[in-house]
Amino acid sequence: MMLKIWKFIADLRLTFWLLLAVIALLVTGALYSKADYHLFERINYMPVSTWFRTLGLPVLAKSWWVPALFTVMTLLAVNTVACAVERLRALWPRRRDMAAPRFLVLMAPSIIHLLFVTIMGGHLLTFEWIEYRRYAVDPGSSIELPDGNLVVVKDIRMENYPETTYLKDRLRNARYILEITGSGGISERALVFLEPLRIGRAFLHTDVTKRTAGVMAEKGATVCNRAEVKSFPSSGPQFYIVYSRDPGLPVIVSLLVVICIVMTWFYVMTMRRVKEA
Amino acid sequence: MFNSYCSCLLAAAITGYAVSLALHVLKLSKAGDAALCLGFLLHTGYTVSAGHLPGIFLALQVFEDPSYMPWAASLVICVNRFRDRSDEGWSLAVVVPLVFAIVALLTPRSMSYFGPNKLTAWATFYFVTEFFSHASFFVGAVLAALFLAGKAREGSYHRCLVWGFVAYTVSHVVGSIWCFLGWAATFQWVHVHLKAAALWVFYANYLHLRYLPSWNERNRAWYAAAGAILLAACRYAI
Repeated sequence: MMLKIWKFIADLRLTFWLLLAVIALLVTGALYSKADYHLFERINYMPVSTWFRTLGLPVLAKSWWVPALFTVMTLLAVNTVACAVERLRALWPRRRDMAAPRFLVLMAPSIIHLLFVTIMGGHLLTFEWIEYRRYAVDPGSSIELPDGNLVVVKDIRMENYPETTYLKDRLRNARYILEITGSGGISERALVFLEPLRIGRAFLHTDVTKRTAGVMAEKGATVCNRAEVKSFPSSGPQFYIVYSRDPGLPVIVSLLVVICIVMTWFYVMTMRRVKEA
Repeated sequence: MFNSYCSCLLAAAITGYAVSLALHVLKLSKAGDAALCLGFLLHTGYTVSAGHLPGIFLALQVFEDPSYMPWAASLVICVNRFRDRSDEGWSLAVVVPLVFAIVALLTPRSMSYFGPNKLTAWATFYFVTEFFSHASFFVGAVLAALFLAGKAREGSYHRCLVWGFVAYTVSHVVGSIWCFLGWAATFQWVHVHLKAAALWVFYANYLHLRYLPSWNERNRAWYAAAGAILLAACRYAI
């Protein structure tokens, strides 16, 4: 009985159907995400379980595919590990019948699959345990990060596209001059787009949006007298500092490097063998 | 004026592709190859000109332009056509750059806003590899259909899809680096990332079909051809 269950779990035909299910769920999710961008975009800023409990469950008709996807991916991970174990079990008794490099080449695909499953595990760490904060900042703003560091934005220097181009007056880059106070003392550092700053185990990134017009009504007023309401026209972009601490990132990056090395070695050895044949 | 001049280049390239297809159907292979080369050269000129649209040369603008993907398809066909002139399937696959170049011609040229998060080599490399892989998948799908019709070899479409998958995997890795640098996450729950993941899994599934006895050559070709439908849906409908 157990053998039958194991054979079913380690069957490549099961892999085919699980992959089809993943494709269907991802396409479904893309359609729902496009229809309600704001709802699903919030997943990126909080643990998935928190998102589902607070925002997803009330609209289960739109969010059902998220737990379904996690379920199918878990089954796929189990199936992948089982297939890899079965292949290793079949190869292991034959290891003395062939040269060591040949044996390693035959084992490589299974090792790559196991590494891939571990990378998926790294993504799961990210989805569930990422710490993410977004702070709107202007020159002079000060923010206290979750890890206790204090960041003062001394200046934000904007760089626009050249005046001679059609993109003039559009933001090309910005440099934040930051004063960071932490356990290591006070330091002044620069933060620019696409060059995140590392502070301990966390990273600081930049972000920018259009500054929206503000409408102010008199505090405590029960009637909105439009003649008294002031609006502020957009006055330059709104800059943000994004704080992120991602426990899955080291897992993903390190194993990705290992996979690239193993795959390159595997294909070089295979091509060599094909040429010799 | 500049745009009108460049559109003429693309129109001429489309004419070259159409003439090439017609000549290959009429079994005039050498003339067909010459027309294909001419179309490719004109297409290259048009695609490169996209970089100058904002008034400053931006490489990313070249690879984001709708004309880049059919250009990549034309490149794949040219390279393989001259590697193996005996396989007529490659010459008939010119229908891919023909159709998508027409789509590009009908798409108004626009300057994507180059916000700060796009100005990195990672973003450029991402679009280079992603649209190259899309081109390979479309060409592979057409070759699979031609194989089913008895006009191409099985090895052709498989090789095309394998290289497309390698390029697509590279684009995912590069894209995740870009996403982390710009948005503090290697993957985001937005439709762009979700449909890209769906496509990757589709072709990963295709690679496993060779190990399933029930999936013979013809069934694999059907699966490969169906990939064009999913890819077109992801590009234009989702």
